[in-house]
Amino acid sequence: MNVREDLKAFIDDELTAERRTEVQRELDADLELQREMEFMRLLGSELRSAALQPSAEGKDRTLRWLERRQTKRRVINPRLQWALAGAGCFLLAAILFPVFAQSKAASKRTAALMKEREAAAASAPHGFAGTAKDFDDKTPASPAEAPVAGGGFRRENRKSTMGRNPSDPENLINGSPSVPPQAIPTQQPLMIRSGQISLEVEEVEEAVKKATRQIEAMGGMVQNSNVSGAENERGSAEIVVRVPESKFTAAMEGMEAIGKPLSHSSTGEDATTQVADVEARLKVMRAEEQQYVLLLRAARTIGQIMEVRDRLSSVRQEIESLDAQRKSLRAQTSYSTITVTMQEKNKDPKALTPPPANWSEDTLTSSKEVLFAIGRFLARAAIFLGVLAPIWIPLGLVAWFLRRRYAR
Amino acid sequence: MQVVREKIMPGRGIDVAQAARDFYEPVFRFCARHVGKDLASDAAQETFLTAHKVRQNFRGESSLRTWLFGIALNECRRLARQKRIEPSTVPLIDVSQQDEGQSILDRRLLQEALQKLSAEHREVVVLHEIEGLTYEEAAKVLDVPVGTVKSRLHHAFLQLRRSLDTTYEGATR
Repeated sequence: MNVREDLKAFIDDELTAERRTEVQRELDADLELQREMEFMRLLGSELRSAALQPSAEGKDRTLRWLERRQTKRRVINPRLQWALAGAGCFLLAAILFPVFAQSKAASKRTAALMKEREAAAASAPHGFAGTAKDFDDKTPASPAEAPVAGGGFRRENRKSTMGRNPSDPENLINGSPSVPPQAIPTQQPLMIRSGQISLEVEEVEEAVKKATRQIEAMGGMVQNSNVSGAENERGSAEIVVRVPESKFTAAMEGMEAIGKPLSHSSTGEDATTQVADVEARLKVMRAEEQQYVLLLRAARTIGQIMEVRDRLSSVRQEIESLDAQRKSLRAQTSYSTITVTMQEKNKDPKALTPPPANWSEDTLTSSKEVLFAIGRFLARAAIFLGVLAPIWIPLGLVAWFLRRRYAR
Repeated sequence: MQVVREKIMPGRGIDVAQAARDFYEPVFRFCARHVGKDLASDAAQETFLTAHKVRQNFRGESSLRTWLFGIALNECRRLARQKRIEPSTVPLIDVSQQDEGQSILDRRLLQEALQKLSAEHREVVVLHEIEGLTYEEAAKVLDVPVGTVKSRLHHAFLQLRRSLDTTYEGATR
């Protein structure tokens, strides 16, 4: 080993006895090495004597801070801290338990209410069993305001007719019929579903035929078909098909199997409440219509007849409108719509693939969907955090307190 | 010589306030040699605040001064990064009090030679030559093997000699 490398360690007495003897032997024999060592010794000595020795500042400030910290820690001993933390948790539980209990009760009440509404909606085609709110909000010109002898109308409390025979003319004159509540099974949700599929196919004509056969086999129909493409050009087609709602998934899969799927999407809207609402209102309006018919027969004066006829006319218009809505909703929920866009494969590999006609719109739609999804996610997260704040804020504070305690 | 009181309190580590009373001055000077005098008090205070936070980590395997220097070195490095201070520009030598009778080397040239050292070489020179730490203590402060300290010190002195060669020749002629 090079002795020069150990020269500094020799001066500092940081060598083993054996190595020190070896270096000493080399030093005795080499004058240049002695001069080098002498210089190092001189340099070390000069460094120590010439080093800046600045006077310390800020000692009092540091000591004050440290003493304050230690005093502060002595005020609350660790056992007391644990006891306080336990008491805090107990207090928190005592506060939160009634809140949870109330929340649970409210949740049960809401669930019961929802169940009741669903049952009412499901029963609408068979008999009206809507809630009081439905009745109040949606029933116009109630026949409870029945004409009485003498030409005027008398307002009757609806509850007073409960339990009476709806077909009894006396009851009809005195108030609206009420249908006794009945147990109704929960109805399947009615969905308005639609799907979009974009496909790449070998032959557009053939693919359209194949799709049509498949849809018809499922009990559906082709609502719209548009095939385009001249000779030597890539053909394209767009068909809009309607399939029974129950076959929607199978139809989507069947359409995708016709060619190479490029994109697909599906949307669904729950129309159960809408349908139930329309049907319930329809039921009520029909009952009203019957009452007005009976009232018309019972009318004695021209004034009464004209008044009842006006009301009957408006009720019938309302019934027509509601019936149309019901049919439309039923049609939409019975049959789902699938839009299939087909594009022939590029036969000439050199030819550039033209972009889809509506690519910008698709991109815009997709980006909007993503934006809405992110917005929904953030809103949900904010709601969750807000609602659960009584839980996570105290827990966070306890964690923060413990972290600070152990970090010190 | 300063009396070292390393009182380790059961379950609480060392008494940092006592450590500050005993070691504030050397820690301050150590910091001043890394970040300059203006920031040294901040660095020293941060050193003791950190020591207070991690006092339970002190096991007594090294001396308290070595342990504090280790913390101070990290604080100085952090502060230097934060304030964009180049440690090589911080003066180590007191050039204002050149004693012609005793000093052989020109202090101004010595300061210039020290400024040419790399940060690693400068650190070992400060720890061993100026602060007076042994190789083993310096190795603990820097968290490197003792052999590395020995090697760095050897190369630091070689470089200093090269820088001061002319001066040394002039002084010994």
